[in-house]
Amino acid sequence: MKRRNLLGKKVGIAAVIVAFGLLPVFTQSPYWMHVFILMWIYIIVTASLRFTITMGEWSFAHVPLMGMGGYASALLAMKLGLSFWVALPLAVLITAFIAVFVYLPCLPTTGTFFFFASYAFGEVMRLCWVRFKNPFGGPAGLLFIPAPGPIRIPGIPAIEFGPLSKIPYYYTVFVFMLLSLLILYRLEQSRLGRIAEAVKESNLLAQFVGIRVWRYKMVILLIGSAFAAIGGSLYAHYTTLIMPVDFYWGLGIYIIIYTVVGGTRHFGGPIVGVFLFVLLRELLRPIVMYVPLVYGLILAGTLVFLPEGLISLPEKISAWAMKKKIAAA
Amino acid sequence: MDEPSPKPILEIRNITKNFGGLTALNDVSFDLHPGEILGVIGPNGAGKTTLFDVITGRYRPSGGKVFHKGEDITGLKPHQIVQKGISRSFQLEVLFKNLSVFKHLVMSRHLHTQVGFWGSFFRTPGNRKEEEATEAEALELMRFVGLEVQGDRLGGNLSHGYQKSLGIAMALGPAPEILLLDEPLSALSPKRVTDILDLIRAIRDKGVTVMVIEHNMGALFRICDRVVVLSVGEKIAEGLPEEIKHNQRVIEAYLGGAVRA
Amino acid sequence: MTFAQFVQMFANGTMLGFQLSLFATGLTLVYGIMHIINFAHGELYMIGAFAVWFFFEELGINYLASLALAMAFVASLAITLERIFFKPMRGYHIPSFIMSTGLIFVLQVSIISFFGVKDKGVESVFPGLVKIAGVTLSVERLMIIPISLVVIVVFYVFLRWSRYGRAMRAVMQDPDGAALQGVSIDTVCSLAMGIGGAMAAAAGGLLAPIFVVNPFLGPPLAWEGFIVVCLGGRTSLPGTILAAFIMGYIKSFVSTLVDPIAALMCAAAILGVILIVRPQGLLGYEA
Ligand SMILES: Nc1ncnc2c1ncn2[C@@H]1O[C@H](COP(=O)(O)OP(=O)(O)OP(=O)(O)O)[C@@H](O)[C@H]1O
Ligand SMILES: [Mg+2]
Repeated sequence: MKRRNLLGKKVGIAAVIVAFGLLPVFTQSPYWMHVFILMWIYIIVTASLRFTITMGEWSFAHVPLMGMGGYASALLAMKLGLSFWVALPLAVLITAFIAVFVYLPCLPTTGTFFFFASYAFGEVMRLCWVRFKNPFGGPAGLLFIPAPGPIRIPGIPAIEFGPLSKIPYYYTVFVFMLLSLLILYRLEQSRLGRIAEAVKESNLLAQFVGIRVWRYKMVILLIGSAFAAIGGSLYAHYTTLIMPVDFYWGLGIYIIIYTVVGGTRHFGGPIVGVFLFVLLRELLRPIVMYVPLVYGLILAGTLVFLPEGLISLPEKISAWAMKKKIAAA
Repeated sequence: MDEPSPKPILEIRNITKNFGGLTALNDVSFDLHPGEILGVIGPNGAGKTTLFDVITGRYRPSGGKVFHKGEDITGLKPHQIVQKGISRSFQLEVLFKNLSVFKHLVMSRHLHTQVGFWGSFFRTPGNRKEEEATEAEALELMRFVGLEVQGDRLGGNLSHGYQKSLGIAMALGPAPEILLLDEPLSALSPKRVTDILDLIRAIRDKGVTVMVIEHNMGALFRICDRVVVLSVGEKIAEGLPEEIKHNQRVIEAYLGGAVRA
Repeated sequence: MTFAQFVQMFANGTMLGFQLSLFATGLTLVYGIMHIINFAHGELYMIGAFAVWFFFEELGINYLASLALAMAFVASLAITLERIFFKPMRGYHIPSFIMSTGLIFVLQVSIISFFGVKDKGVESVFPGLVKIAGVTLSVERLMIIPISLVVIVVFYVFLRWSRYGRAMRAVMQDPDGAALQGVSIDTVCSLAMGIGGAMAAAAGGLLAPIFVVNPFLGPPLAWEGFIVVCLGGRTSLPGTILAAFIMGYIKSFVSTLVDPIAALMCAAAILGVILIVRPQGLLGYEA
């Protein structure tokens, strides 16, 4: 029974992946491609935020670090002329390095203090981009970030990235998203994930069984930042312009809302959250002004009635049905 | 001390601990000898738990030192103290509320787990073997403390008595040489008290040195070799259980404070 | 820096200090009593400013009466929000913060749908300039000082001498609420939200003639207020007022002498450093 369930789940996930992999066959509308490309980027950022939450602390510096990935990657491409394919991994390393300095002072704190302390240092970093025109471009940010270089696979024509078609971007971002999710999932299932869980459950007891809590927290935060940086780099080279306001706490809140409404306890939670909100936004396009209102109400409703997020809904319903059954019997 | 004792395994030297204006421990010194069961008693607020907190690195003492086999371990972090072979249980249950008993015990073996990062990430065949070894050790621990039927229950859902046993098992996980137990008998039924006393004896018979804080003196004196008495942060007596029972200062301390024995 | 410049910066800092005192007192009250972090407090300020604009400019009611009406309106709005949204969030810092950001969206959009996004101006009520120590200052800015002083003093009198005020202080000092003296905790929570909302509205209404009024005033001020609360000690009202003036002067001096971005950086850095180095804040008690 359990086995069949698992198999069913796997088949379901594979079907979803194939369906979205084939999406460009059905629609090549640049509008929808754009919606989905951004959605995949948000999924990378949101899933990596949830990964850091598994050790019990909420980071509010996640989106600024995503921006750091974008800025680092864009500057490497613009000032040093590096190709996107080289700039992205370097940007990930740079971001992880800077994240050490953002998070190190926050580590002695926990809970609310960690959350807002990480905001504070992330914000100082973000304000540096506003204040220092050279090299960050000031409030106007960076323009004309080069597109990724062509992919050359022998035997087929080179795949060019450019304004003509969004399909190469779609597949690039899609593959990055799948790989990120795969790695994050495996990490969570591995020993590191179990240690994170223990640290979240009780920081104190974890220390007394010999876990170096600080070190593991740092490792997890840095892994989270690395994936945020991937998202930022993809975002920068796809949109070709980034500004400091893109990474203001407004986006941070959206990412947190996606995570919370989807549910933090389950790996799939933030994915559900991003899907729901991005698609909702498209549905509500005729009354776009009221989108934040709807978001706010959904958020409030979830926090009050479903604190474990939408992903816990099926579980809740089946538990409720079970209760009914027992009551009837 | 009448008989000549071997070199102490733990030396507490002039430990003082202040919390703001409050002195929780004042110039406390005593030795712990290998293989013994040392009882620590004292009225509420005497500083017993604080003493454990200082030894195990949760708090840094305001003054004084702790030596382990002659080595200064004052101010080390809890995870470093555990690595030295000193582990503890907590007075109030500190547990992973949403993890099963089995997962607790797997975590308790953290320091002895061979599972590597990459092996675990890629789920290599070697990794599976290492995981199985740890799981076997966890099962063994579960059996040893009498939790074998509770393996799948969540820490937060256990009854008080089982939580106490789980607390002891968590402290045994790192395979300590010195085990510090903070009120392992509190609020247990007489039957469970006997079980836990037997368990503590069994632990000692495995060669572990044990230090027990306990208010239930009747039970404690059945197993411990020596007793240290704290009162309002000071050590007021140290000796054999028989001596302590008739010690005038101890009786006064208990009459002056809240009697809970 | 000339003397005149100094006086100008000092006067500005004082004005900001009063604005932040009025604003952050409410944040401290709801944090101290309900243990929630309410960023929608900035929206209460913004709605207060809109209400004054509406009563004063659109309906032509006397300015001080408009201010009083705005305070009453925002207080009742705040109590409604507390009853519906914050009650289940009591004691949960981060969830209540997230909830409050959702309310920011809701309130902002509501105001936009009524009044649009265009800046509104409130005509000066106290026109004219005065010369103090050879420096020209506008009366309208100086008038903020006596009016906010009155509001703050009334609030302190209430807190010290009324039965409800004493109950509020008791809850802030002793979270178990042992000393409630027969006042229900729900009443205390509503009072805290209501008074906090009224004071935020007062700040919004007072500054409406000086700055422009638009629907986006809330969030940046909410951050500043939050930094003030953390700096002051989170549950300490005198700490909040001290911190409000510190922040006011930092903002005023650093903005003028360096640049406004540097002032923002200072504020963020203060938040980070205080949370880590002295989590109990300047005047708070040890956690
Ligand atoms: N973290 C702390 N901060 C401030 N004071 C503390 C702290 N921990 C303990 N104390 C104080 O130190 C004194 C000693 O406390 P401790 O917990 O060590 O007593 P105890 O002997 O274990 O008492 P009990 O038998 O009730 O467990 C008490 O007055 C207590 O209030
Ligand atoms: Mg104790």
